[in-house]
This record gives sequence, C-alpha cells and structure tokens, in this order.
Amino acid sequence: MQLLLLGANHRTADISERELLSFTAESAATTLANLLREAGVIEALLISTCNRVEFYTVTEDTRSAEDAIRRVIRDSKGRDVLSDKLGQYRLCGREAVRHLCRVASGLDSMMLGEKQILGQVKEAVSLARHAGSIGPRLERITSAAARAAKRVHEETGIGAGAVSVASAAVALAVKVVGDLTDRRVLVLGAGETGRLVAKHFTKRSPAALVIASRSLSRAEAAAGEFRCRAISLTDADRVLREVDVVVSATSASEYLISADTVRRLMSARENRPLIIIDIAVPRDVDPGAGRLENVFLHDIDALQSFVEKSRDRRRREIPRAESIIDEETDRLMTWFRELSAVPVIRQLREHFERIREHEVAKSLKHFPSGERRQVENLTRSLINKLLHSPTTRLKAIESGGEADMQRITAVRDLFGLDEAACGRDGSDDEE
Amino acid sequence: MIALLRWLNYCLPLLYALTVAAYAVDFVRGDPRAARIARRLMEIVLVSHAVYLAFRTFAFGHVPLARAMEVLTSVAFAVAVVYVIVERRTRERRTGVFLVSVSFLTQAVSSVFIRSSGEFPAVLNSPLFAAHTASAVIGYAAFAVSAVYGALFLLLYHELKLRRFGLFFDRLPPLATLSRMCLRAIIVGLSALAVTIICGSAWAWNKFPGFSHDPKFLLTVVVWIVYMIAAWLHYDRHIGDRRVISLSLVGFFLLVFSAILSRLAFPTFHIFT
Repeated sequence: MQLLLLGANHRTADISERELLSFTAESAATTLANLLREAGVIEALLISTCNRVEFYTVTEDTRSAEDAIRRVIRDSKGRDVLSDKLGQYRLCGREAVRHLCRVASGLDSMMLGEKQILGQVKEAVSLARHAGSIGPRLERITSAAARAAKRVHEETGIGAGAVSVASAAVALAVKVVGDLTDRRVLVLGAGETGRLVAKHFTKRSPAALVIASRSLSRAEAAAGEFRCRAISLTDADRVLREVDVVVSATSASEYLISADTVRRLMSARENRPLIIIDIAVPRDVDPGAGRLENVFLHDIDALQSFVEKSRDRRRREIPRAESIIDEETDRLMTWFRELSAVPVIRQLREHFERIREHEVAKSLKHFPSGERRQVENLTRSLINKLLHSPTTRLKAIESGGEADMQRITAVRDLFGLDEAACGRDGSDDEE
Repeated sequence: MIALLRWLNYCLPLLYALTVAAYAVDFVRGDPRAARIARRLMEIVLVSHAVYLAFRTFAFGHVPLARAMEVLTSVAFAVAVVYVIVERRTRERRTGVFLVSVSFLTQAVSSVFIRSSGEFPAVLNSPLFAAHTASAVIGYAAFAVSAVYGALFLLLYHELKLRRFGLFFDRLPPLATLSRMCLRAIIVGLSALAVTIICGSAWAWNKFPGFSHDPKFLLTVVVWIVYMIAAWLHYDRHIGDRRVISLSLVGFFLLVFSAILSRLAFPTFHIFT
C-alpha cells in the first residue's frame, strides 16, 4: 500500500492556474466519490484552499492512481488542468506524509506559521469522511499531521508575533493596555486600511469601536460591517478623550492631530496611557505627540519594522519546527512499517512452524522416547536460526517506497504465504 | 534535626538557582518544556522551604522572624509564594525569572549568614513584636515584588517609546498589567509597613526609650513616606505611572540601603537582647 500526493500550490502555480484548479466543497465531495470508483484508489483526500490543491491517495499502484486523479480532474474541469505545464508536484510515501505535516503546521504557507491552514486541513478531512473516501490509513496520517501542527505551534514560536500591519497595530495596542475588552478604540479613516484594522480589532472584542471618516455615509457603511459606531471626522476630537487606542489611516494631506491637541487630551484623560498608531502616509499625527508621557505613537515605519522582526523570529523557528515534523513523520512511518511487515513475519514463522511440526511428527516415531524432546528443540532452534536474518530485514523495511512493497510481495510469493493462508483457511472450513 | 536544617539551608539556594535557570531558559527561548520543569521545581522549592521554616520553628522554639537572617529567609519564601499565586491566577509565567531571582538572592544571603542558635531573648516574647516582624516580612516581600514589576514596567515603557521590539517586548506582560501589579504591591507593602512601624514603636516605647533615634527606624519611616507620596501621586494627582513607579523604586533602594546600613554602620542599633 502506498501514499501518493499530487498537487500544486502558491510556489508552483500562479493565482490564475490555482483558480482553474480550485474545488468548492460540493465539487470536492463529488470528485472524491468519483476518485474512489477508479481502480487502484483505496482512500482519497482533497485539500483545496486559495493557496493549494492537493490530492492524497492510498493506492496499490501509484502510476494508475495518478492517472485516476488526472481523469477525475478532467471530468470535473473539462480538461487536465493539472498538466505538466502547470507547476505540479508528486510525492510518495514518507515525503508525502512529511509534506502534509508541513502544510498543517503552516510551514508551507504563504504566511509562515499561520494557523488557519490546520482548520482547512480538518475541514478537508471532514469532507472526505462525508464523501466516504477516507479510511484508516489517511485518518492516521491526517491525525499525525494535526498532532505535528499542534506540537509545532506549542513548542516553537513559528506562529508568534504579528505579520501584517493591521495585526501589528492590534499587538502594539495589547502590549500597552492588555485586554481590549474594557478599552475603547477609534479608527480614523474608513478606507481599505481602516476597515482592515477595524476587522482585526473587532476580533479582540473591544468595549467600543468607533469609525470616523470625512464622509459620514462611508463611516456608517464600515460601521455596519463591524457593528460599531460611526462618526464624522469633525467629531473625532470629542471622542478622542474617551478612547485608549487611536488608529489613523486617512488620506489627509496634513496633520489631523497636533502635539498640542494630544497634550490637552492627556491632561483631560488624567494621564491614562494612549496608543496612537498612525498608518497614514503622509502622517496624520504630529510626531511631537510621541514625546509626551504615556503617549505611545507608532507610525508605518515602526509597524513595518515590527512586522519584519516577527517574520524573522518565525523564520528562526523553522529548524525546530522541521525537527518536530521529522519526529512525527518517523513515528507514523514506524507504525506503517510494522503494519505491513509484521503480518508477513508472522505468516512466515507460522508457515515454517507448520512444516517443522509436520516433518517432526512423521519422523519422531523412529527416535527413542528419551531423544524426542531433543529433536523438538533442535528443529525449533534450526527454524529460529534460519528465520533470524529474514525477520530482521523485514522489520527494517520502510513501507513507503515501491521497492519495499516489492520486497514484501517477493517474500509472500517465494514462500507461497498467501496460498498457505488460503489452504489453512480452507482446511479449517472443512473441519 | 539540626543536621537536616543545615542540609536544607544549603539546598534551598541551589533549588532556587535551578528554578531561576529554568525560568530563564523559558524566558529567552519560550520553551514550554523549560516552563514545565520550572513549575515542578517551584513546587519542590516551596515545599522544601515550608519544611525548612517549620523545622526551624520546631527546633528553636520560635517562628523564624526574630533575627534579620530569619526575616530574610521568610521574605524569600513570601516572595516565592506571591509569585506562585500570581502565576496560577494570571497564567503569566514570564516574570518568574525576575521574581524568583529575588527569592534566590535573599535566601542565598540568609543561608550564608544565618546562625543555628536556639537563643531567643525573653524580651522578644511579645505579641506586639510578633506582629511587628510578621508584618515586616509581608511589607518587605510586597515592596520587593513591586520593585521587580516596577523595573520591568520601566524597561518595557522605554522599549515601547524607543520602538525597539526586542526580547523584553516579546516576553513581558502588557504595560498595564505590570503597572497594576506594581501599584497593588505598593498598597499591600504600605499597609504592612504601617503595621510594622506602629507595632514596633508600641513594643519598644517602654522597653527601649532611645529607639526613636534608631537609624533603621528613622529610615523605615522615610521609606514609608516615599511610598505614601508615590501612592498619593498616582491615586489623587493622577501623575503618570512612569514617574510614580520611578519614585517607588527610590523607596525600595532606600529600604535595601537602610537594611544594609543598619547592619554595617550601626551594628548596635535595632538589636534587642
């Protein structure tokens, strides 16, 4: 039994190619059901996100499974979009397992260490269960990938730190005031950046979120999206004294907030800390405000530097994350190896034991009763010695490679293990 | 029992040092395995310290609060207990390396200088004296905790102002948390030190008429006033946290200075036999 992965991702295919390949939940379920009808495909899983489309199949013949995947894609998309022209990749056995662990851990993501992908992998597993295409092997592989991802996120800092300007703004605010649930946030500007920042702050459930814009209707449209309050930019001064966090992202050509305004504001708000995050270019807030006590002013350069440091820190965690993934992959491969080699070893030993018992039974009557025990011991020891080397070699076989599978098949053929098992079953039935 | 006490006396600084090392690894590397080891070590060190204090009480017939080095070991224990409570309640373990370092230093000094003597002057056998020393332990521990949180607050404040997003920015709790912990500890310390001064004065009033000239007593009153001003500036005048916390750190340095000065420069004062 082999694991085959065929896929394309953001590294190998551009967005237009990935768009052609992508599957909705419905089409993925149909595709998996179709794939399972193809000869040689025993189990199948399809992960389709905006950055990747990957088919994982458990098969007896990787070549025919690959053909089957291409056929179902052709049926679904009208043509073979996963052609050689498109930057695809094909991995087998251990490498395929390792790849899935890396994907689930966010190591293969566009945004290194992101956690969303683990949820998407789990959704793909759930969809495959629903389609009836997932079996014990892929269940085991996907839970190993989920365990690897959990460990990677718990034991390394791969997912730590903010890696976008909007999340950096939230992280800086949290670093100063802590929990945002009892804090008020004001976002100046209802453009794309303003909305993105508001979206990130909404996830932290602040006590109040206010969006201000020159155009009240624009502010109201954004506020409707995030269920918060909208005001006109001219009313912002009044709201400023009530808030703890100000994020400014307008296209104003001169300062909206002067240092003097902030000085007066701080006195009115009894010197409680104030975080001002100025993402606008040109800047909306007079840099002099940052020199006031308890005022933490960060501009776009500070945020970019924050984001870059977070990315650097994540990159430094890669070796630790990779070693966890290797550990988990090895553990799974050991399980697979034992799964495939152990029954063969057991059958081989049973086969030899049956022959020994048969031959000893035939000859034992020619020996005096005192020597029969010695004959039993001698033949047992002979069988053990003869089987020692094949047993050791079988135990060392990796189940992932095609060559390993061929070796196991050769052992079965050479000693007629399958026939022996059938014969034994048959005789049992007769009895 | 004395042999066991001696053994524990030298083991405790070692255990605290190991715990500090585990918390340091967790702080620098963010390693959850180091954090788990640190937590286990912290439990071991707390139990060992509690056993040490209990054995000492049993062996010498008095609670180990009568002498300076006994007070010091009790302060080390109190700081460790405060830290464990804070860690359990806030799930914040990244300040462990700093707070447990205080326990390590105070216990190390105590272990080196403490005497295994059973002498307990009869004059100290008073409920007022017991209240005086017990509240002093709580007060010193609270001020030590406030100093650690205060120093960390100033460190993070400057990192944020200078836009340096380094290790301390990554690992320390939010500025608001550090400020809250520091100010709460100041209030506990102020209350405890007030009890220390009142009980100590009432106890010494008749027995030691010249006690009001005791430099340690005078410096302790000054320390209390400094902390009181810091609290007043914060709660009444709404002065920024940075200045209030800086002032409280001055109070803490005065406290340490008064303890060292009274032992080195005026060894005849604050000794009651």
